[in-house]
Amino acid sequence: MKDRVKQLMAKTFNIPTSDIADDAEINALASWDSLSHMILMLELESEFGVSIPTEKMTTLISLDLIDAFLEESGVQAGNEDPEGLVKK
Amino acid sequence: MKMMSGTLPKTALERRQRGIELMKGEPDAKPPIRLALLSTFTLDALTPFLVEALDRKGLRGVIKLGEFGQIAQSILNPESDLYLSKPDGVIIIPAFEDLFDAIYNDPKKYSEDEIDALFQERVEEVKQWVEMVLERLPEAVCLLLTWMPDHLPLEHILDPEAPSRGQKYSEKWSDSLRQIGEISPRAVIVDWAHHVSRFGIRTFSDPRLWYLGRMRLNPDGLAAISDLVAAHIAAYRNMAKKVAVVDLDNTLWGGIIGEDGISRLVLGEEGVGLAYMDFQREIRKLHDAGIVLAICSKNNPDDAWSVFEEHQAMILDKSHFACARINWQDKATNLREISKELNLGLDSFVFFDDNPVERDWIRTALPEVEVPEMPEDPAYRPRFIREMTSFQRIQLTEEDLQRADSYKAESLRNQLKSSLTSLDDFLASLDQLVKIAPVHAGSLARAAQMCQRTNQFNLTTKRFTLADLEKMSAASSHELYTVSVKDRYGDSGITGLGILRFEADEAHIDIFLLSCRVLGRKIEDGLLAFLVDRARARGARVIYGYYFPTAKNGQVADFYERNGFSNVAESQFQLDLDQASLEFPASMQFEIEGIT
Repeated sequence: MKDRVKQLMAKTFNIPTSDIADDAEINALASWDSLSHMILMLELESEFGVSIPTEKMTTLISLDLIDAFLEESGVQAGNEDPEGLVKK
Repeated sequence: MKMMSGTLPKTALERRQRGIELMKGEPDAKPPIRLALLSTFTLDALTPFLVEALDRKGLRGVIKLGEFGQIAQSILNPESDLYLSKPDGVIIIPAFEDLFDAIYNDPKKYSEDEIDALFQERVEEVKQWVEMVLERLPEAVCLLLTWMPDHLPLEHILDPEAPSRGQKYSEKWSDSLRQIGEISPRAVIVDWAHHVSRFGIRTFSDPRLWYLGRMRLNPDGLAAISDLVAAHIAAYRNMAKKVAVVDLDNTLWGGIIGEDGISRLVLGEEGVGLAYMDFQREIRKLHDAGIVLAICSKNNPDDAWSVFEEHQAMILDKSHFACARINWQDKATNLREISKELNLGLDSFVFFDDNPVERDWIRTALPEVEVPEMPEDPAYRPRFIREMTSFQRIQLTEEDLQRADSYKAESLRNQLKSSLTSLDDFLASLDQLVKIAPVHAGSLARAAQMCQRTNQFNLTTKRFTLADLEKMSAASSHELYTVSVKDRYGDSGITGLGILRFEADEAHIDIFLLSCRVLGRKIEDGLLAFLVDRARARGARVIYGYYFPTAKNGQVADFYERNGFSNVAESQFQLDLDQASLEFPASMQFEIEGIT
């Protein structure tokens, strides 16, 4: 799942996936600032079909935390979208 | 090369990504349009959306964001970044909530008189902003957006007229801003409030984005406002398409005439039949606004025309169409023929067809033709046509209104041409009356429109703006003349422009252009003879013409040499006025206006 989040981050920040380390976090990555963070949150909602409460948006500030949140929300690794409901 | 519309992303987030991609791209040969954006709230996220929306209109945008909340500082300070960057356009977005935040904070605190006074002050302030931008940037267009607030100051008071509710001020606000558009043709109102009223502000905002990032618009809102701004810029630049080509079966009516027969076509006052009638009404409105209509259909012509002649519910009749190709050959070939017959480039065409295979074929074979993805369901199509931006203009000119008729005449002329053997016989048979007149207030807009739009018969392709022409026509160093043409088929209106610039004893032809509607009729020879006479009358000893090649004006490369000028330097042609004089063509009458 981390890989899929990485791909989404790469698209959102418009940087190569290889630039996103496993321990990537906000402000450590130049293109991950407060504005692109908001957009990333919306991208996550649309990609994984989850809804992120406002408070949560302010805390999902690293790849690990995002990964953990998606797992908590019941998005399953490797088979995140069994019914093909989420558009690619 | 522009991407095909079928492959463009649809969701706002995908459009943002495409925008970022475009911003990274190598600056291509296309000159950019530079826009400065001033708003009362943060719009940092807008840039990629706006770049993407402009690209869909064939424009490369370079966006410069002002510090939010500092509109007045940027505009009042003559040394601000705004003026130093000399933008082509300035976009002003004043949010109602920001300008009236005092009332939002404490709606009951102010008396009606106080609110009225504040309101007047704010309207005046915005008006001054626009005036100052126009004055300090005499080439630029200023786009001013109306606004729909996310909520009213006091929603618990229901009376729409109650001052503390604020609704009447919100509505009056947009109305007052709309009036500001009247101060100059360069002040363009972008009616965002009206646009939002169709969709609802909640589809365009997200409270989470407001609280975390002070963003008043969500990605859908950013995409929508960008599309609206881009449409206005394209319209201001006279980029509207000129020709609508329509298919017949399942486009103008439901069903297939060749199989179903006239009585079983879906077209009438009820149900889906009414949707087809409304579709035709929308197409007729295009015609009435000067868009040239043509038919391209795979059918037996007799079957197809029988519907026009016999079906009671037809809104469009044969006379609305300047030309038609009803046959079994492929549609790309037909479109090329239509383009030739109308003498209009395929890049000014929009092709409407219900059949996705035909649409794809045209996109592949003729990428310059715009091929909209018409909704599958006919009920959605009238709205689709109404909301298309491809035909939009800021205002209608007289010539726009005459255009459709004049192209129909052009098509008839071309048919006559093939029946007469000699060109001179043909021209004489047209009974042409060519009127040449100095540019005046009433023809300035049309003259600027031609400078912007004319590609083929345009010797210098200088894209003078309305402001440029205004300046020139006031200066004694320039003489500007329009040409209008009438013949037995109709009045083409103003279709040519010549601009002379005088310097000591030299005259220079800075602009020489004719609309493609009147090409091949020797009108150019008459206009040139006239300009040469004018130059001599003003005491010039020599006249210079210029030809700057572009991708489209190859047909006029030898224009000056054909008329006795000699090529004296690259792109420059000379005629000595004490020796030569040019003949006015005998096959037409000339009327010269207002020359003393």
